[in-house]
Amino acid sequence: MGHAPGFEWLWNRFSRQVSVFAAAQGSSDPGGITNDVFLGAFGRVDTFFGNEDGFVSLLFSIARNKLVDEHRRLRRQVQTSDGDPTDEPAGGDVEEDALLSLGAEAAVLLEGLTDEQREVLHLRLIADLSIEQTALVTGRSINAVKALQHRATNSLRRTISEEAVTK
Amino acid sequence: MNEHSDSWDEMHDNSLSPEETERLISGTSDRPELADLASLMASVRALPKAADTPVVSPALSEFVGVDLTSTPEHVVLLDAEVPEVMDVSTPQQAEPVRRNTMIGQLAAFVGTFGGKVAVCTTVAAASVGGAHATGAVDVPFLPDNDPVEVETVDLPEDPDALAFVDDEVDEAKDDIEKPEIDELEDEDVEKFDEEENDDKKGSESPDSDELESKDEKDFFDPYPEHELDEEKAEEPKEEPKAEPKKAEEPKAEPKKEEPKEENGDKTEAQQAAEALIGALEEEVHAAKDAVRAEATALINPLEQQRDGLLEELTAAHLAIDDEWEGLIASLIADLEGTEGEVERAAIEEQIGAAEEAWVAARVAAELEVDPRLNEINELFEVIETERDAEIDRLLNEFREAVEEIRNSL
Repeated sequence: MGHAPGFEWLWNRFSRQVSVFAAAQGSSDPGGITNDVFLGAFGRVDTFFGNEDGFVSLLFSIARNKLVDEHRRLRRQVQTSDGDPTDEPAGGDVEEDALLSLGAEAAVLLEGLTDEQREVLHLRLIADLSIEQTALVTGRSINAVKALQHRATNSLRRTISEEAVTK
Repeated sequence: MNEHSDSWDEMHDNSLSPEETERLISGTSDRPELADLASLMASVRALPKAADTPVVSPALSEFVGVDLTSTPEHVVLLDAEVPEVMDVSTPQQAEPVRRNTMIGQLAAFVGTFGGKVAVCTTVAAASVGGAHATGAVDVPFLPDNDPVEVETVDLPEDPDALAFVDDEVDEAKDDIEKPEIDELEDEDVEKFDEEENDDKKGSESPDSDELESKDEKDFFDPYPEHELDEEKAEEPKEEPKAEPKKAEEPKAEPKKEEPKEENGDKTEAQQAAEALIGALEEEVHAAKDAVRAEATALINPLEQQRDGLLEELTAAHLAIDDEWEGLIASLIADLEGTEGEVERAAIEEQIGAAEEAWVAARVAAELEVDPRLNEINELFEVIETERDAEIDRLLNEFREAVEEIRNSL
């Protein structure tokens, strides 16, 4: 393939963001997900039309789908092994471990958000996506993304204030 | 996860404007009272810079076409000359998982001393053979039209694994075999067949001893799910050293066609036993295939049902998202156009409630589909368990039969 230098550049430029995003979203195998994401993206490069922002959106759209697949698979495994799906949420300890890898303080704070809020913050902060890109990746409207990040930020602020009072 | 249990006053006190939120997220907020929050955001934003670049999988490396691989085991295992051999592999994307496993095992194999010897021998033999066949050099001990030399090199019989060997091997084989055999008379063909048998005998034994180590066996059988292959790989341990290559012989090859010299020290009873074991093995293979086919026939429609359910769920989620996003969007628009703190807080509360309802609707849609998905998953389990048990039973019967035949000798 004649795209090798470009692929290498894209890998070096974005693989860490994808990997950290996958870890933060609770993937049990962030490295594997990252490789799968790039394989998927590189596989579509011949039909891709757009700039760097567009490619990054494509990367994180694929990453998000892979993560959804992984969560479903994990949930099926939990259901199969335990027999009671209500005991263990999707991802289970894997998600907590991944959040802890972000650092204790950030992990505790982000744990208090809804999954949707956390995902939007991760895409904005870790993947460095714009509101428009985040809307594209998550399949939501721009206003919905604004609402989610707004609620997330307010929630984080309240948590920080409460912790400050407690200390 | 989020309780949204804040009192009205708390929301009033802590409420951030959407514009301030955007500044915080983009790292441009300069409000001192938000320093902690800004710091938290900055720490999350800095995570990718602090992270290591992920390890490139062999599959991705192959796809990209350049050696991006920074896998530690590859760095350790492969010597300078080995990547050349690895690079000639052609991508086979039909079975990426199996191939990845094989690549890892091949790398491990090549990393061993025995592996290097085998690979170097292969390349050297192919090069010399090719050069000799094309007339570039004259190697005195090689017959001019002999098609055998390349075939006797110790290579794995797995056709996937052969793809890793230098293209020169295939070219050399083509050079030697095709044009010249076509021109031969029948008599000559027979003569060469005899020579081939002699050459095989002579060239197999030295390297085959080295290939008895566990690494090589793993290499020859990279797919553990092929139970019979495992069994075949174990067999040589129990057999006399005089027949080290038996486990690697193609199963379709009739035993009667083996060279006379090789069978010279075998009794007729042994030959009959081997033939019987070969026939049994083929029967077990056929029975296993039948069991698998039966299970697959049951699993396929279930998979279709499961895919249908997942599509149904996706459609339900999209419909729910459309509904709630529209409502929240209008609330956001209201919020952005509202100045009064009290009114803003009221709208915020509505947005929070709408988000909760949105999430609840998505969860409800999942819960509706989940019982049916669970049923399908349970059926998968039952079918796969029964299939595996049946295959185990077949293999055990085969092992017992082989044991019985050997004991009767």
